[in-house]
Amino acid sequence: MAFLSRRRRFALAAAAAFVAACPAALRAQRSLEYEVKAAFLFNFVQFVEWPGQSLRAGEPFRICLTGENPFAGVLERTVAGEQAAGRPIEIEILAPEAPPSRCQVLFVPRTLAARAPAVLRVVGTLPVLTVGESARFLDAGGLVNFVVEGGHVRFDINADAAAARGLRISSKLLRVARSTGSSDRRER
Amino acid sequence: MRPLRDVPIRRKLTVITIAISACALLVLSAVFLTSTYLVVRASVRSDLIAQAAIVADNSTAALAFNDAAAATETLQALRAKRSIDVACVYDREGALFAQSRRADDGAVCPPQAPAELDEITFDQVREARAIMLGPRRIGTFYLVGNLNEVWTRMKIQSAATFAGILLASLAAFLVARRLQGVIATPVSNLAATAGEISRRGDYSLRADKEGADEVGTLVDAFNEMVGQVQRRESERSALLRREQEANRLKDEFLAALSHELRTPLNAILGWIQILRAAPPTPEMYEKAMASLERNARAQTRLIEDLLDVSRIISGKLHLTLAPVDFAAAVESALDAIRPAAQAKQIEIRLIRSRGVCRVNGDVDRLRQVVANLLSNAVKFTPHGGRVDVMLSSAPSLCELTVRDNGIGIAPEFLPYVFDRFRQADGSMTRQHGGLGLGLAIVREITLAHGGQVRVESGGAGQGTTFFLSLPATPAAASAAGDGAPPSVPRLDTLSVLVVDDDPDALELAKLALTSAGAAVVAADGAEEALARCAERRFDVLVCDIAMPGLDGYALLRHIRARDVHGRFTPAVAVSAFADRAATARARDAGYQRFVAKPYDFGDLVAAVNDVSRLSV
Repeated sequence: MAFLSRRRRFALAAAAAFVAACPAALRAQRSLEYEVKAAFLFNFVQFVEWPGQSLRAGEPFRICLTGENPFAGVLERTVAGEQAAGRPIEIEILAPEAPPSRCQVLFVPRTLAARAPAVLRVVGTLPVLTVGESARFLDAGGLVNFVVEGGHVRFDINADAAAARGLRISSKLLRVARSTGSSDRRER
Repeated sequence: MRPLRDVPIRRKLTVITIAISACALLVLSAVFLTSTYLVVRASVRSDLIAQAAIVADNSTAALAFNDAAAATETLQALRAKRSIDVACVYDREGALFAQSRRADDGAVCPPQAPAELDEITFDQVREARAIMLGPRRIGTFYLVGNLNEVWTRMKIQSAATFAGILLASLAAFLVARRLQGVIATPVSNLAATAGEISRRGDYSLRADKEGADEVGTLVDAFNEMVGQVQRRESERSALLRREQEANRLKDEFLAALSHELRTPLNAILGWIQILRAAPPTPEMYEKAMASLERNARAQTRLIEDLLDVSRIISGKLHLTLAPVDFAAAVESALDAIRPAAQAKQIEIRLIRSRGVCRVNGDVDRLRQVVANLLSNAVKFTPHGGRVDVMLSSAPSLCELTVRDNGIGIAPEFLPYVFDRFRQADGSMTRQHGGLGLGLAIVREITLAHGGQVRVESGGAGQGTTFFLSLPATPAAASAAGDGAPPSVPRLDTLSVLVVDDDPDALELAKLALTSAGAAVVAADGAEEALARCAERRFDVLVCDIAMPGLDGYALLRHIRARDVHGRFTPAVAVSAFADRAATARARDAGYQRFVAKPYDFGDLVAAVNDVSRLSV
């Protein structure tokens, strides 16, 4: 099966990358793709700087999930004991279209792709790194969008929009991104 | 530097200069190249490490997001760097993730990540470092760099340095060539001058001094030495010339002496032959006697002059000083010369001022001085000429002028008139006779009396004038006689023993004393004299000194030894050895008087008369 074989290659190729972020990834056979994405999600945090006022003193660093958690505990394990911007990382699930004013990262899963524009409208210009995994997510105002290409998880970044929200994305991250324009690229 | 020993100083200096500069440059270059190597190596290494750090940093995202392509792309940037052999990125597990290697190079990344490493070898830099994402290690970066660049730069640097050394040595050579003259030129000039002097023997050459340094001092000292040699050389040759001149004069003198001694002997021997041949007529007898006497006296005069000169040379001229009436001495000398003047029909005039002229001196010597001047004048004045003698007395000075109108003296000879053994030329002696001693004696005796003598002449044919001045003593009442020769005393009551080994001399002495009235016993030697003494005693002993067997000194000792009981026999020594030493020795031996042979009868008689008064 094409899908399976893709998935298998996926797993093999990603394995090395997971090692850095998620030692438990190999055991989660079922959600290899999400293990990679969880690792990437955590890695993004390392290459992005949030404006000072968005991190209030005493607050943890929050990675928020919209509506549901597609990572099935992988994300929690990935960030367990890790720090971002000098604080402990917390995972929080927000109701769709709830204002993510306390979040630094907001993940919009593929299952909520249809509602993504609405979610992003709620986010507005808050300094929140919005990460999606659906087509046209960047067009809708998202900042980072996962794509699977040739068995590899890649991502596009809307660098201008990120800058407009006060987020400074490292050039290293931009170099690794598949594209850094404002619109989504079609899968080839 | 033995190899340079025989090389000219010029080249030595050049070689030394270049050697020093080359040594300095080599050491400097070694230090410079070493430090350059270390600096360049350190800089290449830190360059490599800095690039490694950048690449490692740039690889973090690629590694974090598992993007091998991006990692490879990042590493490819290093391909342009020729000093990087290979650059590798390993993932967290140590597996090779991406690598960059140059196409022409065989180097590859090791399959497994090496442990952290930071080493530098002779030609390689190897660096392995962790790639960190935040606090977490997400991979390893490994880089192998070569030091080809260092060696390339070192090669260029060495070549440039070597070229620099060559250029600097060339410059040093050119400068040395110009500057070595500062030292070498004065030294080689000095050496050249020294060589020139030694080769040509020309001590008038001098080295040029170029500066006041040590070489200048050397040049001064050298010139000073050459000057000394030159002075000595010229002194030596002047001495040599004087010696040759003296030798020449002596040769001439000896020739003249020989001539002068033969001339009277010729006359004497000639007359003796004539007298032997036939009994002479009374006129002839008179003539013979006159000639014999004249020649014998001339001979005596000659020998006395010689002895006087000998005394003068040895500084033994002895004066018996007493107040002398100088005018009387002059008149006496005039009387003596008159016959000779009359023979040449020369008119002699004496012009004297009033007053007496008293001199403290030796009367015989002063008479000799005047006689020499007069005979000189007569000798050099031609037949029928004139000689004026002027005597004047000032309070403190007696002055005598003797002027003739004779042959004169050439100006160039004037300064030498009073020199011994000199006559104007050798022919003078043959023409005029004499040894040229007379005027020398005049000068010496005059000086010994504290007087002066000088000569003037208008030149050849213009006549000659001698000026003699003597210090006068204040006029005192004359105690002595009028200067006339005393009359011969009589010895009528005396018994005299005469001793001489020469029969002629013995006969003469016996004759002289007998004619004065003495009773004379003659003994022909010391033995006979002692025998006669044993028979009887004598009032006076007259004894020759130089005799075979017992001489005059020994004989007198024997005789005196017999003079006992208060007896004393005075003695007169007679000898042809008539110098002062002989006189003194005779006196020491006990003789009261000394009479030189040949003697006037009167002198011997007077001497015997004098000592006879001592006889006891």
